[in-house]
Amino acid sequence: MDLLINNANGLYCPIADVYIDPWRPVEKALITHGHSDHARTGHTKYIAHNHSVPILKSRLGKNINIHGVKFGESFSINGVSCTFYPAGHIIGSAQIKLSYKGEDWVVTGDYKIQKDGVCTPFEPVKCHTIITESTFGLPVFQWKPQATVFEQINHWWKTNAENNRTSIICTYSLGKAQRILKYLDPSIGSIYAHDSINKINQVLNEAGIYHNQAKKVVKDLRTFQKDIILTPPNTLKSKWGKQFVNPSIAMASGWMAIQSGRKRFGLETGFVLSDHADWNGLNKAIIASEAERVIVTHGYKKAYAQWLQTEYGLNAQSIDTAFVGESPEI
Amino acid sequence: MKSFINLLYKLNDGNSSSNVVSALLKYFNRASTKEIIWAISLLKGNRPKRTITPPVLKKLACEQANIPTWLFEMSTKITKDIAETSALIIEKSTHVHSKKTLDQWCIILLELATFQQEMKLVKIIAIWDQTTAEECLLINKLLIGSFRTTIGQLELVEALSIFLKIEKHIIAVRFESDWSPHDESLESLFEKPNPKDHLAKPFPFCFANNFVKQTKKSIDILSFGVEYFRHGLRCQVIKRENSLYIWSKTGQLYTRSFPELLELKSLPFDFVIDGQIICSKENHISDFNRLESRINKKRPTKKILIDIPIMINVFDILEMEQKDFRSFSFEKRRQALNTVFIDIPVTMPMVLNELFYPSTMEECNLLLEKAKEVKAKGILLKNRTSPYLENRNDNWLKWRKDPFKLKTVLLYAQKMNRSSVYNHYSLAVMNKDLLIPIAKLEASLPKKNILEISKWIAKNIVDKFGPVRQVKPSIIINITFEDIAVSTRHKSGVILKSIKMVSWEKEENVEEISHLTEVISFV
Ligand SMILES: [Zn+2]
Ligand SMILES: [Zn+2]
Repeated sequence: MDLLINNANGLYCPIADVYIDPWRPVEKALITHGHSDHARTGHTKYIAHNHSVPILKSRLGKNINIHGVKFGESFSINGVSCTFYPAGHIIGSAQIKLSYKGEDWVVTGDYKIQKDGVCTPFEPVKCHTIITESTFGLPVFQWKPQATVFEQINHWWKTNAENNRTSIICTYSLGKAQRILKYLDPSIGSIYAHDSINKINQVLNEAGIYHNQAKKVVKDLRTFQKDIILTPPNTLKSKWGKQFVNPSIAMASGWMAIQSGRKRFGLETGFVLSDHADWNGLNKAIIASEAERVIVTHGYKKAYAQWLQTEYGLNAQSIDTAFVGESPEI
Repeated sequence: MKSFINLLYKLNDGNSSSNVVSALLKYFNRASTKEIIWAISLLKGNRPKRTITPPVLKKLACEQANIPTWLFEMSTKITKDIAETSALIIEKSTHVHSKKTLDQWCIILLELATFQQEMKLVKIIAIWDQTTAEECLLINKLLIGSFRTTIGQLELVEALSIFLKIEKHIIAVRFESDWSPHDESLESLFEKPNPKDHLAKPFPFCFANNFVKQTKKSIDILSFGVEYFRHGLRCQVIKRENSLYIWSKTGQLYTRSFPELLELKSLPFDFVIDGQIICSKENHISDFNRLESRINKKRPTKKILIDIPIMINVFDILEMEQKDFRSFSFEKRRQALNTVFIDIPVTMPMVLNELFYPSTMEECNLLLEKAKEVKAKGILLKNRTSPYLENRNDNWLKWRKDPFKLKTVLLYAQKMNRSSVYNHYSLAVMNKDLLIPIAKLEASLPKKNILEISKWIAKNIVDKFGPVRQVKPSIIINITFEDIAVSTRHKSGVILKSIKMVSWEKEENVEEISHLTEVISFV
């Protein structure tokens, strides 16, 4: 029998009677990371990495019943050994390994191979079966080194500042915002962020995990001409987003790698920056896991499973989950 | 080449015309004149001849990237562009743009075309190796001849005019002539003066104001002449010395699009006339759909010239034998036109628009009622004593016929342009027992309605196709449209023109929506 199955509530381990990132309320949930498609409300008990604890409390409520664990520390649930390993996706993000009678299963959650300097870097975990995401599981998605992208971002900001234009960079509030904030060059101008981003930064700061901070946008006579503003994309059409005069707006996302992705957002500038593994990253992670069986979830799962079968001869299949991949709404 | 690629990003964003012009200017100011001449040639639509076919590109890219064909095809479903898939799947050793400029690359690619196939492929692989993914994308598009831009002649001409400080009509005429970036420089193409430059210069157009209810009461119909206006391309046709120029009201040069009118050159006198180019076959005015397919063809083929013939429906004369007629009264100008037309052979693709002098408002109304019959969009009332003025004024009044009305149901919705609410609708009518989409447009109801409908949509999705959401058919929307034509490209078999959303009928249900048969009866 499979150690993990996919039922109506989510990925379920019948022996341990525990779910991983369930999308419906359950008794006991292991949470890979704080994004809203993975960490949902209504579970009786949450288990997550220590760094995810303040994030989950802030997003799901102070009073949730949550237990924090360290990377690499095993604990047992009904005889199933359970260990969290770093996934390199965002702060607190983990892969979860379940082991029972010598059989190891890993659920990757969302992950990336590139080191971002903000969260604990991804560690390959050996197992028999791996349940992997495939948000960018097509060979057209190949990321450039992070340093190259931040050079581009700072260059864009600097050019705007020289032309007295406000720079607005669209990014989701948990993960990429912290990553961008860390590498912006403060000598160019002041760095501001939308409240939803500042709120998470403050939570992380209070927990002693992350220390870069952006200023709050306060309505006064400021024009923000040389400044940069980090904000989730859905704020742009609102009154808040419209207070900036003739801004240069850019989106930072893996989808910016393709023309149709850039067109969909209809923005002037796009930076290819993702917290998900690119094509080569996925392949590296799967090979390093030495898994014989691969279960592929969100993304181009059918194509990616077929690739793993034909290219590496792995037993690969795709399953439907409620995870949404890289979306600006998370 | 980086600055040209950056320019393309800006042009492809569906940017406003003024943004496009300023992006072009920024680029012109940075690029060398050598590069600019190649850039404007590409932007004009002069694609270099294809060097290799798309299947060859695909095969080469798959081999280089070690990717099976099926995966390439899957990827292309996402990118929708073979050139892009090919550019992206190859692992890049460099993320630094090459030092070569656009003109240098264009010359390299032209040379490449002269090699044997095998040598070509070797050289392409070498090029891929030295370039970034962005550069590769452009190069691949040039290789397979799929490079396109959405930029219009108007913006290019305007930007060049500002950049070179040369009048727009001169730029437009020279830009539209046959030239190759190989043999020309900015200097030789635009800056060298030509004594004939002034011949092409159009007059500013006179435009009509909309005929509103208040004016209806206060006007004295006896002081107006009335004529029909149709779906057509408003333009000024200039015949001076032995040259002919056709200018649209936006300042676009259309001479090449309508070679039929070159016949006007044979007339023994010079003139500048104002009129509408309409499609007409055997005295039967074609619909707007055919006209549009004709307007969009820069160089019409013989088949199109036979299938969709055009003519000019003349309604004013602005210059005659080098004499400016614009200060004459409308009546006097029309008399002059009448005289001119006596000598014009009937075979000329040129007719005089009929003018009426209604003596009462009722007669005027009657003319409007007959608009549909004569395939007109409405009537124009022109003050008999008025000179030909620049810009919009009350001497000319435009009175559109009543639009057609339909009751439709919301079938698909989509969030476009970063909107947080559903702001694009596909509306359907009934065809027997099935719903059939009839109009796709931006939601233009009161904001309150759009918000409410958007929330409703979120809860009533029955299916998803990419970003498109199919919803339960129950939101009833009244629309109007001004014209309709048969279309083989549309599932409903018809295409509507100038569609407007009028209201959301909260109280009605889907049984009450219009039927396709009713829509077709309008054709
Ligand atoms: Zn995530
Ligand atoms: Zn996810």
